[in-house]
Amino acid sequence: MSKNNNWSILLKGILKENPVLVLILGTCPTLATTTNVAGAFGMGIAAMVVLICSNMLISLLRKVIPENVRIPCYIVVIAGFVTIVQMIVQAYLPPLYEMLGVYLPLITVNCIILGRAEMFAGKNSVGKSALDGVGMGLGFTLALCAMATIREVLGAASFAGIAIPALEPYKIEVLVKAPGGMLVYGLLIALVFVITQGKAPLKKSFSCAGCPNAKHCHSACTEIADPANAETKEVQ
Amino acid sequence: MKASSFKPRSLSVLVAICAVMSVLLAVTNALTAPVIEENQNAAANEALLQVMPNGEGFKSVEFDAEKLPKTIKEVFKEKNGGYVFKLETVGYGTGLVLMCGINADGTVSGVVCLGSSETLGYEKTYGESFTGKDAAGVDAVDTVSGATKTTAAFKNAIKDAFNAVTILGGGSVDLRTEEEILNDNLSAALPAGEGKFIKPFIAEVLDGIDAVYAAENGKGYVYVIGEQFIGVEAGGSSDNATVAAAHAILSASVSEDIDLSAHGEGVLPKKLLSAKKTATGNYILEVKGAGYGIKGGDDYHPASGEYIVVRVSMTPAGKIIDTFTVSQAETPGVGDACLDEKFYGQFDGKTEENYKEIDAIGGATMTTNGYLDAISNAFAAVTILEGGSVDLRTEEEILRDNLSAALPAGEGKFTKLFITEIIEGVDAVYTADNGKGYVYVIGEQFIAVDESGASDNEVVSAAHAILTASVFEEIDLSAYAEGVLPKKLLSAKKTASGNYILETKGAGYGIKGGDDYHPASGKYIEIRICLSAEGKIIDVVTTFQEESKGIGDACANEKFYGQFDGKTAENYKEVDAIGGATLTTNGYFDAIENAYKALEILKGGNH
Repeated sequence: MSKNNNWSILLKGILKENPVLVLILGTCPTLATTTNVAGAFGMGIAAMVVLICSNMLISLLRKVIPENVRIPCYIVVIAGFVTIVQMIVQAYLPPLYEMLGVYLPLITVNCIILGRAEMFAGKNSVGKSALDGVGMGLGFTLALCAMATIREVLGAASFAGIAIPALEPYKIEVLVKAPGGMLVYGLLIALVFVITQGKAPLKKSFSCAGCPNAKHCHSACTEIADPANAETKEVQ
Repeated sequence: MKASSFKPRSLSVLVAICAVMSVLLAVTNALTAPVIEENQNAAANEALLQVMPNGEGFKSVEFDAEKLPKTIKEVFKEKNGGYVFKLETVGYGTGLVLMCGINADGTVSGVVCLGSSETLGYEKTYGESFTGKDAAGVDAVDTVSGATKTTAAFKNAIKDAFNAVTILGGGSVDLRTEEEILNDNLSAALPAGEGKFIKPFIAEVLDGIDAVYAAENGKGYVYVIGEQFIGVEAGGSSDNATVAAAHAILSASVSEDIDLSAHGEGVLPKKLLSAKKTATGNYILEVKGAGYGIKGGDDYHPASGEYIVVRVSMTPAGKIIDTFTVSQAETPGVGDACLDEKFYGQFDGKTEENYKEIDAIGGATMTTNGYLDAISNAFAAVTILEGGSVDLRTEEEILRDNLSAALPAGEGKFTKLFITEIIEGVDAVYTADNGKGYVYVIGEQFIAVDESGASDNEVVSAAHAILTASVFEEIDLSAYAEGVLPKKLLSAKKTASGNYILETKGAGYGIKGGDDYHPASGKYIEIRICLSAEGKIIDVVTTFQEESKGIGDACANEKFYGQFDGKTAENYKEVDAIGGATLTTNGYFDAIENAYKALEILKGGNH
């Protein structure tokens, strides 16, 4: 089983189990806020704050919350934290609030948050959940910033709003629009796949077979997970 | 799989969690809500303070949108009695949003543009010109020509703000537009008209009547005498004698077409399109004129290729009764003002002597001239139809006819000769392109000299002898040291008689001008000038120019450069400049000045 190395909990969120590029969670805010590096960074940090707080609270309550009201409880907690973060950002960082717009309240339904609450915080200690929150949050932020850098520098000839005149004639405008965003996203996923040698996405603990709903799913997804199951080992 | 069963514990846990989160939210909200509201107020206040810097305690005021001018969107009242209005109006583009502050003492505290889709950028700073003005002074502020719609929108919005202050203060203001007031007056005079009136084209002289309106439904007319609106129902009559007389004439008015082909080729002006005559002897003509659509055109505003078509009614004595623009394809937003009754209404009552004494369309000289062109053709047409005669030839045609009459062997093709010798008593010389002779012009006389070179006229023979004997040779400019001769001297020749024929260039609009709408061509004006050794200009001709089409290119016209003949270095600038083309005129002077500079050096024989 997995080694309980705190350091590895933190690090896995950054590459091997990067929420955006490996777990393929939180794609909506990824595509939406990566047209500008400053916005991407802001979104990443905001989501990380919510993730850490909600992970910790849910971990704290994991023995208290009965399984059948698990989801509603998680959502109340997450939505509450997002609203608190939203109010604080609106009061003290109005420019960031303007930049994030509707994507700030949408953190509530960011799959990463609910996903980690289910996959990790609901089963692990508060300390480890906090670390997981940091790791996943950093992974999210880094993935967002990487994507935003590519899209903004090549697509709009600027970085975090600062123009780069030398690149202006070569900018590929489609990169800052939806099709370009999808393209960059796909390429980054492929890149990480190559780096992690393809082993990460097939891990049982977070593929279909490891989903908490697997037993309710009438094994619709276990068939997909099957072929890989034979070979996969937990690699930590 | 076990079906989820309802557990009291599940419910209570959920409720507990909700309660805790609610408390946390309430606390955060209590802390942050005031900060957020202050931020929002600060942003709104910033705009308010921009227009009323000394204002305090701005409060938003509820108002009845029906009672205030339509452009007012928000009203703020300031502690000391001032008002700030947010207005939305239409300038060149829609969505021109302005903030206008009016102090308690009735002066403008400031006007700022919050948002716009204007094109030229004047809206950013134009508001500053209104600070300190009172209601009466708003109109006095200069409009910006070329941005009339934007600046007119500002003025109207500020007037609305003043009206709003009056209304909010309990006063009353007539908010109706001119059209609304007119329509209300017409409807009051003729209720049967059901509120829809048009201004019909009148072809009869109606004494004492200022204007006539017809109900679209045919139920009658309204006659305007000064401030009075007097209605007459169809088939009815009026107590007012003037109106009754006018109505009788108008009702009885009939006209029939005039067959233009009956007049023979070239008798009537080419620009006369159709003609009718009324039973009372007045004429209804449709004429066309060459405005911007024909004579103008550049990369930004291409010429449409269409004439302006005008309908004119005129008495046989040549007095205009009514005018109407039938069609035009002039520049939208500029020349198309010729469709406005306010423009063409100016011609009513004018004659051939004074029809040009009207206010031109601002920024649309070519359109105005095209309109005048059309009307001049109407005057000519009436004179001819009344049995008179008019020389319809253009100036060029008259010149060519005179030259051909003097020298038929020239076969109608002549070029003005560039004079290189001083000849007495002759105004101009033309040569036949086929080399069959010359024509000398002395005043009104055109005297030919054929190939043999003989002429009875002494002055002409003397001049001809001098001109035909004129020889010149090229001066080698490279023989001069670097920088001695003016850079703008292109070539130089010297005649045996000691005159200099110089080709020079000058920097006009093509070099010194240029903006987004009329880019500079990058080309100099080039001239050929013949100077006597004493510095008297014998002849000048423009050999090359790329100045603004329709404006600066007048420098290629003999009417312009011909002015320089006979001038000297002291007085060559005493000529009529080209209207609206100062840079071009100065460029021409520049070219001539360089010729004089070159003359000094070439005369001195310096190397």
